[in-house]
Amino acid sequence: MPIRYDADLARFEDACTVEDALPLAEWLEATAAPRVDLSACTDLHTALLQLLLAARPTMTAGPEDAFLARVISLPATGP
Amino acid sequence: MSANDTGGPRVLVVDDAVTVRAFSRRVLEGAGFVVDEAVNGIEGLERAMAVPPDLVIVDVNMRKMDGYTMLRVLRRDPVLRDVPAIMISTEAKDSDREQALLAGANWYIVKPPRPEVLVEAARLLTGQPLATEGAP
Amino acid sequence: MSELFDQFVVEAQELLETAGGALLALERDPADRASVDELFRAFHTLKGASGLFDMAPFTRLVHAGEDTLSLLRDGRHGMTPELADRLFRTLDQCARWVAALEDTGALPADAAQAADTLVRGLSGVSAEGAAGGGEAAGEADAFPWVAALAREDRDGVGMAGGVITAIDYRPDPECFFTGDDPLALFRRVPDLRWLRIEPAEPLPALAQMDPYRCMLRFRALSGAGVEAVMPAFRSVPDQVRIGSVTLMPAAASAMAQPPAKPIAMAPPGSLAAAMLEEQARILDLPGSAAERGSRSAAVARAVAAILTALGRPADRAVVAAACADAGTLRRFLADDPLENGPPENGPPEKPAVAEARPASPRRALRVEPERMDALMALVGELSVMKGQLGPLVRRVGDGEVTRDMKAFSARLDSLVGDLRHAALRLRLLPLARVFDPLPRLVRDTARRLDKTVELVLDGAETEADKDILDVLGEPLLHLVRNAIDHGIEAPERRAASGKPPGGTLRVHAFQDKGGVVVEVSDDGAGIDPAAMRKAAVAKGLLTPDAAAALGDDDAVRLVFAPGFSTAGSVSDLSGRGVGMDAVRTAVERAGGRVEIASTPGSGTRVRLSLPLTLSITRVVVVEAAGSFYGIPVAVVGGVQRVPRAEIRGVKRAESIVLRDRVVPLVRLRRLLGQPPDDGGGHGRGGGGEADCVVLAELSDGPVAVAVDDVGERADVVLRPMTGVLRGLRGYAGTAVLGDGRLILVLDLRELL
Repeated sequence: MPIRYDADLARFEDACTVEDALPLAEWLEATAAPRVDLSACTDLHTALLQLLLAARPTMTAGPEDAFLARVISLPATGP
Repeated sequence: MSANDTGGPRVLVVDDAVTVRAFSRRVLEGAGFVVDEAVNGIEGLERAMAVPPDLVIVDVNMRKMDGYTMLRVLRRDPVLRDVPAIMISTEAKDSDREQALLAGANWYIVKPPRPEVLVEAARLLTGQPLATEGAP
Repeated sequence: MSELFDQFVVEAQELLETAGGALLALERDPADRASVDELFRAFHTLKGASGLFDMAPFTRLVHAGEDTLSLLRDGRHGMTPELADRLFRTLDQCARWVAALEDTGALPADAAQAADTLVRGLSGVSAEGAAGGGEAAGEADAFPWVAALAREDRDGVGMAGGVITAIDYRPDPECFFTGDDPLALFRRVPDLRWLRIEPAEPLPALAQMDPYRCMLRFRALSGAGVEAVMPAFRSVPDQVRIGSVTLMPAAASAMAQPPAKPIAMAPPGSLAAAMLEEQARILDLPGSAAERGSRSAAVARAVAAILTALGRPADRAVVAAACADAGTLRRFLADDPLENGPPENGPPEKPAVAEARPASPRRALRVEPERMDALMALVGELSVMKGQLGPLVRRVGDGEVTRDMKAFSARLDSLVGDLRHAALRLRLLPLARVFDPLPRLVRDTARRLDKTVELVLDGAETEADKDILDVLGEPLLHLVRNAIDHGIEAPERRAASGKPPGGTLRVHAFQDKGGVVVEVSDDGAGIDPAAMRKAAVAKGLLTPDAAAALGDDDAVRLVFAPGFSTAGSVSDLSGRGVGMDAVRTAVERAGGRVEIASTPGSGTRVRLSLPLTLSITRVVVVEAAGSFYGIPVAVVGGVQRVPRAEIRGVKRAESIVLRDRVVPLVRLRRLLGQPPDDGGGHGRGGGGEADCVVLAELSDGPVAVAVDDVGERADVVLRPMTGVLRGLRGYAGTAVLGDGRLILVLDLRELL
């Protein structure tokens, strides 16, 4: 599992694929104040990004991957 | 900001396109606003005078009375002169934006509006707390 | 989004119709300002409405149309037939797309290409018209969001003033299932300068969200060329638009002055910050004292609202004071609001207005045709049941109860009658519906044939049943096309025969004895009976003798014979095998009839008579060999008794003279395979010396039908033949009379 769930913190590691979408959705929904750590994430499937955009969890650490860092740093709502 | 009995602030959407009105209604009602509609400037003014809205969202190009004229008249009305107004248009040029502001708009949105932008703008101009901003 | 989408389809259809009408008017009178405005507005509204959906080619095309029309509106380009053609083609394309959207919910696969072709045609017009206009339209318009980019974004892209590649990618919502990862595609985009990912539709609450449905939209800018960007999206060509655009420098206008000091009250880069800055700028706009006064009142209220929304409410009076000018407001906004004096009681709230006016304008009710049919069927059944009550009451005999029942039955009668009338009226629609396509048809046909034709429409408000309108539509188009093609002469020929060069085509509808009549008349060359006779012989339809014996009217009527065409050359317009016989067949199938009158040299008039409704048919009840039959009143020209002595001829070919015409006589008994009348018995009142004859006006000519007896006329609900009966030829269907008797309704054309 590239996403490790640890109480209210989810750690994204390596390439996170569409297979993680359903568990992530359930965890986000079930967790009162979810936090995510994307530092070790090297690839993030669109389905997961979409869930993060919808749930807006607190991000404890952004991705180190250069491409993902640009994507994730974007404000979720534009001007 | 007089929110009315039914709950949220009242937004008057003035547009001759039924699709645009339906879209705005859906988006704004989904965000808790009470939405009123009119198909042109004249009807918009009539609606606004009957039930003063907390915000008007006006299209530019409409038959009978366009959005510019409607805003100018609105700004001359003793009761409605300070109602915040958003003008919405397919034109993205600065000159169109300036025209809108000159006519009395407080803000300008290029069509098609993104739902969340429309909602955020409406919330701001009616003094509604913004949705929790916890962007990753 | 489906309800919204349906609304769009309906609105688009209406707008396209309006636009079509305006374009026709404009072509007739290029100086018609109202039509230019109307047309412009239709395109403009379509652009705005279509932009709400994922149908870029549609939006692009109507946008191009709008641009072209703005040239017309500003007088930078004049109306030409070529331009009208292009705009008509544009409208046609849009109409086809709307039909596709209605059917499948999406534009056809070739939409982008189709749009490109038409846009090129239109922008060709724009280019020649706007020479020197200096407005770089083109592809930038396909990516309106590029022009709308916020200043920070433009700065981030770092190519202000340069050409850049825009990408607009709306992945198929189901794309995750096919293994797509839209975000991953952008890793392969060279020189990615800017990327925005946002929901293409409002994201539902997490609990309702389908994690396997892609609801995002990607917009990006790349510094690389279109060709270099394209390969990344090779697998999703139908979901992406890529084009090069010019990124305008951000600070080009006077309005874009940067704020003197950052706004402290809102997060930098937020919508709130931008809005607050805009309020300051509004205060600097020029205008009369009154204008500036009301603007600043609106600004004060807006600023107060924005601050409240941000959770930092400020006193209204303080805000109002700060809205004196842009500088003061900026200073106020740059400071912390809590330092702006202690809160006081603000001005009193505006009195709230109590009741809202109901906002429901009168709207047409749309009813499913099936429901209407069900209602009509029920009304039909009810009429039949009601009819059976009368005989039943009579059987009860006399007495108080009977009297009451009779009174009751009479009231029921009148109520059912009213109900039937009301139900019938529900289905009535104005003929305008079938008239609507005619102006365009006339315009196109005349233009292709280089003829000038004035169309005069009359009686569009006449009403008929929806089914009848459906029947009428096609034949009418054909008659009109035919009249322009074969009837109205070329301008030179008209001039040579002393006529005005432009022909007149008149379509006139009116109500007539329980039916509706549509006449199509032209002032063209007319039909020459001699030529018709010759042609009939040449085509082997008639022997020379039979042709010579034909009266002029009957000769003209030959145009309704299958496979007949009088034009020297078969044009591509009406020479496609569906001739006037198709018109006749359609109309007669609906229980109507077609008549034609023509004067060589001065024109032709075709008259279509149809019943008011298909489901209720008025019939004459006739009797033959002890059974009852119905003949649709629409074909009945008269009923009379004919003394046997006046019937001429031998057994198999009888005829009579009626109104100075020799009319062939057929006997219904024989047609139905019944034994011939023995001459006694039946014909009540007529005895054996006379025959009851119904004169049937068929388009081949009148036919006298001899029957045993003629009864009442009745409105019946015609039911098509079902089961084993379906194979029977010669019957239009069955019907039940008011007293419960079942009759067969005859289709004389097939029977003869």
